[in-house]
Amino acid sequence: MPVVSEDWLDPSAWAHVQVAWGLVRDTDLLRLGRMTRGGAAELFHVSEKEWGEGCSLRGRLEQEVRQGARLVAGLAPSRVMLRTLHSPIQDPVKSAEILPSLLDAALPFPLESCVVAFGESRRAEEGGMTCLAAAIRLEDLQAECRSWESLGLNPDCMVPEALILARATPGVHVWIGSGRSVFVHWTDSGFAACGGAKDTARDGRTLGRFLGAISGAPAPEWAGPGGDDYEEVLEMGLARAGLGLGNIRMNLRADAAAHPGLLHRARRTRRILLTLCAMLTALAAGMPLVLRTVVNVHFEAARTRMAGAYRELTGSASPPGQERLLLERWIDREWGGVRAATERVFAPELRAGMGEVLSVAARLGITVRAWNQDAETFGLTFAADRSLAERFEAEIAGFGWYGDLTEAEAGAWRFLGRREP
Amino acid sequence: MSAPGHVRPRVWGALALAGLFLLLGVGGYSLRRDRERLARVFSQERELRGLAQAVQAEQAWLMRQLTRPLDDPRGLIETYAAGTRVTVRGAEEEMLSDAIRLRRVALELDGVSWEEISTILEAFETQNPPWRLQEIDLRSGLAGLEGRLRFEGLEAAE
Repeated sequence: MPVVSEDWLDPSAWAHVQVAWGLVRDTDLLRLGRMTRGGAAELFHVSEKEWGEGCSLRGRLEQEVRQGARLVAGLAPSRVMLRTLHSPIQDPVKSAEILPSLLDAALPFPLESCVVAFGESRRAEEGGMTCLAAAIRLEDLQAECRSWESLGLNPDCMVPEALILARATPGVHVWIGSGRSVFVHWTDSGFAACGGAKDTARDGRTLGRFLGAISGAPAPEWAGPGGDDYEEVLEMGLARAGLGLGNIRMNLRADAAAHPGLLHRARRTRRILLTLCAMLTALAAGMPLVLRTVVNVHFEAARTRMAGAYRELTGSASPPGQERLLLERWIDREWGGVRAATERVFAPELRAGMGEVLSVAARLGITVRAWNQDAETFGLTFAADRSLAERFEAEIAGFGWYGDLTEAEAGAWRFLGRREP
Repeated sequence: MSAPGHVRPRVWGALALAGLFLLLGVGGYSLRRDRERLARVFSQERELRGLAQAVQAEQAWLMRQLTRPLDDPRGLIETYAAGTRVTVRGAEEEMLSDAIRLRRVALELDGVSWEEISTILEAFETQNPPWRLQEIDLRSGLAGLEGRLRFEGLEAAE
């Protein structure tokens, strides 16, 4: 059983067109509606004889088809079966699984011989789910295609006419053409029933039976060339559907039976999408590699510069990545001695302050007997009494000489200390 | 005529998208790690260059100070403190690096005055490059001060 896939219910979702033509066969008359995406609408009708002889309208249509215009043909109620299916199952997914079985039970033909399309499921007021389904026998669909081909037309889409007719408004809508009529009953909860007749009388027998079957049938609204509202025509509704307007998602010429051009476009679209996906994936996979390569180039360049700087200073090579650590060690080992000696040799002179200390000693009448000094400590031995020694200690502290004063022997003092910077 | 299947491959698309995000996630994580690695090596390079430049600057400064060799201690004594009882002893040399040599010298003093010591110290310490006084060990003797002065200085190796 070929079920029309989601994408094919409305090909305009993935194959945009700017112009669409709606096609309706009305006995020996061909009715056409042309609509552009900009909203321009034109209605035409021409006899099949004139069409077959190659009228100017046909030339215009064929030219626009070559330029990509979409043709949408209506499927008469005698060709297609519409059924509202009720599933008692609340879960939409599980409910969808039993829809084919429900449809099979509702059809007079084996489901396997049909092309079927399911509309959107929605919750029914009485509980469960409800869904509109359309089915056409494959041989009928092929016969329809052949029928259009005999007129030199090859519709891209085929949509049930009953779904085009005043779909949004509850009530009974009747389209009256020149040689046939279509009628449909819409209720508040959606599609109820449809039918068609080969006569155009408002009191025709078939229409009478259809209305009689509806309890409390409202007064029909008459549309189409033979009706009251000529604007409510099928051909324009079909053209609108071809542009993706009106939310008519019930194209039955799909998948295996699809129009070769649209099929080609579908494959091309799919190929483009797959290519795009592959490119994006390759990009996503490749970008980190590219970035990583760039990072590695910078990384290696930094390593090379570090190795060069190390070699320039030390004259030897280092294991990669250890330059900084080894340079620190090299500096400690090779340069540490020079640095320490430099600090000593170029430090403030050790003799600084020595003259001042000696002049204080001379002024106080102190004899310096010994002077021992290195970079950090110093020691003075001098002869003086206690008070003089303490005065000497106080005065040299003014030059930054601090320490301890001890009496070395009678009349001799030892001053051990350090210099403050 | 074969069936084209879904025009927009939803499952494959979703899988590809998931794969894409996974790759982007892995790539982003990997890139962040690489960036951290790069930041680390750049930081190391900066530190290494900082160390190298500091040493090179010290080397350059030192070599500018050591354009002349150290003056001979005996010559200095003869020039600035002739007649003092000073003996040069304990001359030592130590190669601190390929280009820098440390020299040490000790002066033995006997019967010198504080003034003479001041003259010697000034003579040694004001040379370029200087002999820097490292140690003083003086005491009063019978004929004046006696003891020892130690100096050290740096010079460029030949």
